[in-house]
Amino acid sequence: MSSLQVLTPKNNTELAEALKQATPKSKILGGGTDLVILLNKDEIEPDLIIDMTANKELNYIKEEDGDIYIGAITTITEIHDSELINEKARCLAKACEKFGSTQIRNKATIGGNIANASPAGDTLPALKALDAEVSVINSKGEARFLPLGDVLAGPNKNSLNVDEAVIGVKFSAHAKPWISTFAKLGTRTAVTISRISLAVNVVYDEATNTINDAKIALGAVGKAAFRAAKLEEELKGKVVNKELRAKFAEKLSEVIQESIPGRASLPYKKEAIKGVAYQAFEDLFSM
Amino acid sequence: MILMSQKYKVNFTVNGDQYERYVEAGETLASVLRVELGLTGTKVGCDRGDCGACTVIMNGKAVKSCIIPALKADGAEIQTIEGVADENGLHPIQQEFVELAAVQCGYCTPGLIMASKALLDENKNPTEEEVREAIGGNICRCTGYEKPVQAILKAAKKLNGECL
Repeated sequence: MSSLQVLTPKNNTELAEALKQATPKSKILGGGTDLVILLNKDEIEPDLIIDMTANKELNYIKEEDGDIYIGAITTITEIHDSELINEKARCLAKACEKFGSTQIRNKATIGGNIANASPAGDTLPALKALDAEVSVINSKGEARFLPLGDVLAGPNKNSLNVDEAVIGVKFSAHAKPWISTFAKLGTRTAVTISRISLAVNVVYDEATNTINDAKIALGAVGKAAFRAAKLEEELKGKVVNKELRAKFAEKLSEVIQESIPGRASLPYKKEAIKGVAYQAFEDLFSM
Repeated sequence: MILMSQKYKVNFTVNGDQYERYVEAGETLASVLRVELGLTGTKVGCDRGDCGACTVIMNGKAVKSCIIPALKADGAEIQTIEGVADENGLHPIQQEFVELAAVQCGYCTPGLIMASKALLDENKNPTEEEVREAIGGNICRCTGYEKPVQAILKAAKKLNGECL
């Protein structure tokens, strides 16, 4: 700890400069809701911490040409409160609503949630169900976009180079007929990490009561949030009714059984997902 | 920030008083408040952002001071439990906690009061659900939350000038 240095870049140019000094031991600090716990417990001994949150260039939620952009240091509270996100990426707003407690939401950032790559990170299934791409900057100041799935390398592990940092995320605006939601299960919702999380993003034709397209993502039931591609195909063209709801729950249970075979939590999770699936259906279709 | 033998200069206000301190990178806001400033009303329970006993108000928002690096307090306005009562006496939330006996062991009480004050500062007329949401990050193992929730709702009414 004695040689720990902290840099607080104020803009992207300073951030790139700071990233030049990064080593494999260095850490990027967002809201600190995960990193500070590790520091407190001496589980990590970084040589350098780059605090992102003084760089106000990275605090925004905006829509441009049909895409929504969120800056890395935007807090979970800000995303939850955003009208734009509630209207055009509701599953993300719902994920932020159910993210930790008020105090955590006030500090935790979306960039941190992405880069931390927790299997249980609440925004991640929602972002997966929105086909999000992550914006990354390197020490030369060059920015690039990566699909979220390419950033999530494993439990609490991202694929970024040592001299790179997440600066934002983008996804297409999903206005109506897209409708979406997020449901999760934790042992104590406001405090504990998710045991199961589910984002459901579908094109719903009210007139025919039919699902025409679907993006379904699961969290906390594998090494990283992932899409249930086969189930998405099966939902297309289906009429929404109680039979579909039951089938949806059953199929999700199968997806989990394939994802975490042999895991001690499997007998619980393969049943519990059904309740989460019903919650999502109830929220989307009032049934 | 100026580097000074691995300590960083931070300026912040706590309960209206201006402070300048040199803090280490790994130091938390809770530790600076309690150890450096002697404001021990802010409690540390889990020290990992779960229990909410360390809740303070930072720039108008409830936060858990045990997981805030003190460095991030630079330029911040912080309110702790010591700053809630004023020359007129206890804040209505504090009064109602006393009157309704919403305190048992008391360890979580400062955190509950700061979390609910942050709510009432923003939302003058919260529903019971909103109150429960606001204190969802504060663990209380004694009261079962019933009396704290009643106390906060009653304090809101009082703050709105309603006769009770």
